[in-house]
Amino acid sequence: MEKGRIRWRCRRALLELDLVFRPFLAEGFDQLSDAELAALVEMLALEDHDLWPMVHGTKPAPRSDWQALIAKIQAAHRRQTQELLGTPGGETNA
Amino acid sequence: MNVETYTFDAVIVGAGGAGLRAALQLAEAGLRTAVLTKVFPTRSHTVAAQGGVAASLGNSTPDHWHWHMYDTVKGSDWLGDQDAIEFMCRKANEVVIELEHYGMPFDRTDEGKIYQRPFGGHSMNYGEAPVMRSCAAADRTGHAMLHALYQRNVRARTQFFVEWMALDLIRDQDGDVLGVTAMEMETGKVAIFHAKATIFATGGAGRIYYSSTNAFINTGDGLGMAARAGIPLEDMEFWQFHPTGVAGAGVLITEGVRGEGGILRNCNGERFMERYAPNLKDLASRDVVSRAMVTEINEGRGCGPNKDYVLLDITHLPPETILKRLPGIREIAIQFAGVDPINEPIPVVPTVHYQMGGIPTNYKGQVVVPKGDDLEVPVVGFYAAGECACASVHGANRLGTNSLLDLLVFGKASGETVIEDIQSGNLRLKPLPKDAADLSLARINRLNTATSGETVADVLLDMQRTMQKHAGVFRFAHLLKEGVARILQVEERVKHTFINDKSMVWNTARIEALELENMIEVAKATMISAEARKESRGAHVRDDCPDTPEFPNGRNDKEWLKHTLWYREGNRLTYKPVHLKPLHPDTQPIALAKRTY
Ligand SMILES: Cc1cc2nc3c(=O)[nH]c(=O)nc-3n(C[C@H](O)[C@H](O)[C@H](O)COP(=O)(O)OP(=O)(O)OC[C@H]3O[C@@H](n4cnc5c(N)ncnc54)[C@H](O)[C@@H]3O)c2cc1C
Repeated sequence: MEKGRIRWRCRRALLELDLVFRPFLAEGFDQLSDAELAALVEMLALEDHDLWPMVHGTKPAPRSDWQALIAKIQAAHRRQTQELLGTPGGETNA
Repeated sequence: MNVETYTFDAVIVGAGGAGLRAALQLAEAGLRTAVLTKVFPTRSHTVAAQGGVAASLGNSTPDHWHWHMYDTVKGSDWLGDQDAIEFMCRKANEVVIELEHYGMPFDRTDEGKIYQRPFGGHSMNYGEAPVMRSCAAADRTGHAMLHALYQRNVRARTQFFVEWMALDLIRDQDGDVLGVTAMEMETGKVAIFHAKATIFATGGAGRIYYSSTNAFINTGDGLGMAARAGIPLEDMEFWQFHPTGVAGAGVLITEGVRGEGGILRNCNGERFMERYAPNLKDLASRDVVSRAMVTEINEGRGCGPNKDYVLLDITHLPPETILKRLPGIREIAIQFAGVDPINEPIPVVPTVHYQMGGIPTNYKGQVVVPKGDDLEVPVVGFYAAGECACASVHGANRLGTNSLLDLLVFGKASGETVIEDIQSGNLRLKPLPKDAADLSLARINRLNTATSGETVADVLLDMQRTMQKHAGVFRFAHLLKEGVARILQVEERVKHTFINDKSMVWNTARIEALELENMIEVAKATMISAEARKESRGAHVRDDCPDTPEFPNGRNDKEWLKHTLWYREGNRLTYKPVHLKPLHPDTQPIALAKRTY
């Protein structure tokens, strides 16, 4: 599937998800392997209310390839949040 | 260039609650109906709505549609049109029960009726006591609503064009609307959707502000398209702010947190709401709390390195309470503020939430514009519903849960009106003008051929910062004036944006550039309308129009009890009267009064 289409499907109905995906689209997305992209496409087909708890970590993702993607998404967001807030640390539970 | 044309009875732009409800009406009547949407229907922003949908069913407490009408008129600070408000409140039970029949999983009472909850601003017996009027499906009301409507549309054979972006409205020499141009994202191809009727249901434009609770999809495309086609935008100065959005991110922290005992503090640790609202304190109404927060920040008592937010403190609550009652909020604070609210307070700022203004319509969903002496002449073939439309039921301030109701009532009404207009022979397929797609093709061509310019992201950010600073929750004459000049400068920069990626297929940079061209129209309309309105009313509060005996709450009914209409051409403003008369002659109007709670 074209990268542009996948990128567009990261536009979500919940602001929470838009915000978490934004830094990932800027820094990790272009390096994903074909297998990772395929896994992402399937993950993006979830409903937002199911996806958000998984991305946030309150509900474990049922697939290990999704867990690995979520770790990357969260790492990108964590870096951005730290830059914005200018504080080290900042608890997260990716 | 040869542009492909698709022909339908009706084309609907938008597949949120309003678009899907309108589509259903048409498709079930056997009309050939197309729905265009930028994202998959159940990814529309309606999914984010949790609080519920208002209807005076009276299942949990006594209720009456006229009480609901009173609350809505008062909430609107008397700027809402009373005929449209009566229509909406009377129709509420019908559309909610219909939705139940479509399979919406509403919460139930023990007897199996729809369970109803209380919600801010909704009352019993004309303000006497809180009423239980909000119908919800757990905390997924919007999501459940979209699913029920989408399934039903699939059954009715509505034809969906998913991941298509409408670009421009097509009007002929008579000013009649004949459809839209749209771009298929997958190919980059532009096509014409030619129809007897066009319904806009494109949602709000909350992303024009820097701090917004709205998802990125809310770029006001319908308003931009209407404005470019010469349709005025109504009451765009009125934006509802939610007091507690996470600073920097915008994600909403519900009122429930203050309900559980959350306290707002300034940089001195002071519980400043005690000074502004000695009785209700942190639980005062949204606008009072928002303005108090902004006053603290403006007077130098904000927190953080830039002193630009205040703190929402729940560290005094037992951790068990936070974990049990507010788990979602804790997640949001950890994710977006980097703080665990069990140990540290959450940085918050008033955040834009809902657009009261929009494309002017009457209660039937017809788009209406001034023509000669008649200030409300329907534009043939053009209808609008939902957050992009201004019926006007929310006036200067919307009540929570009235928006989902607006989607259902006016989505359905616009569909019904289209059916009537087609059956009565008022609407037919008029021939397309030769230049139908020229404007859209020229816009795309500019982006394809520009070899230099500013990035979309840079101009977008400046637009958002300008809106936030100059047309925020609390408005100042000099800032508004300066804001008009600034936003016109931003407009010039929007004309010269540049994208690196010139590919046809799935070019998200191009989509974002086209969205910015829509957002700037909404931004100009907002700033210019706000600068001109020299009173305080509802969500539009000016520092130079304070509460006085002559002008209670700063509201000036003598000069400003009227709707604003902003035209793109020349940034011209005109005004039209508010409908103070209800729909039915025997309905008691809601007399003007000071808005106090
Ligand atoms: C966080 C949050 C919570 C809320 N909670 C409540 C609540 O509890 N109760 C309540 O009553 N209200 C609530 N609201 C307000 C309410 O959710 C919205 O006003 C409402 O959902 C808007 O619905 P809509 O159908 O008008 O538009 P949307 O649901 O925003 O749908 C717009 C549609 O238009 C499409 N579209 C836009 N532009 C184009 C284009 N150019 N081409 C093709 N398609 C296009 C989109 O793809 C989408 O399908 C809430 C709002 C927010 C932000």
